[in-house]
Amino acid sequence: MTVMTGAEMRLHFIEPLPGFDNEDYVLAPIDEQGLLHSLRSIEGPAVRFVLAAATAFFPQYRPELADALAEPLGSDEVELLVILTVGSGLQDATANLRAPVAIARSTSRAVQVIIDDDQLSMHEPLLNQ
Amino acid sequence: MLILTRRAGENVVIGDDIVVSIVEVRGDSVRIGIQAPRSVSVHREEVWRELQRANEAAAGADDDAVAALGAELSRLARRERP
Repeated sequence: MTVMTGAEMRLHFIEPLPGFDNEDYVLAPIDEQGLLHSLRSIEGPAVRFVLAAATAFFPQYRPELADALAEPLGSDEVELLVILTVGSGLQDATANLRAPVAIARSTSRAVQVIIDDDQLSMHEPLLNQ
Repeated sequence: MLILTRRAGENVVIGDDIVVSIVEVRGDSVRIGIQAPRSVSVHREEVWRELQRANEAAAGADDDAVAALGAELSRLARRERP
């Protein structure tokens, strides 16, 4: 049983993450600065992702998001997180820059967006760029 | 599966609100335009499948892994601020 702290929040995905049926998750910061987050499915707690604040790790990362995003998320203030694939730790972790997760904290809604730019990798090394 | 022949500039209508247009045909590639409601997501199939695999590979973080990442991150932060 996870204890809910103030920093944790529920997120509803307006479309399930590709590959999964789950739509409702808990987003919880891993560190105090909010660089890393855990995203755990409420319906199936074994489904758990690690996300990173996109611009903190990739300062040049400014993907063009469709204007259409504000309406389904219900807010103009959209934050971008990227899903990490973690091997043995941060040193060999990779980030999915092609398909970031856009979240609107004010409405607790989220969606994974595919950016139409094949220069962006789904497995970009997180560190040592 | 319906198979039909279209020329550049012609369209196919799917249901009430999806239109697929053949924009250009050149050699073995075809440029198509798709008009669909926002609720319908449209993707290149290979990208969609790759994303499914990437998500599945990323989905199994357990408590130990998450705790280790937090510890590793604070070690890195300390190293950058001597």
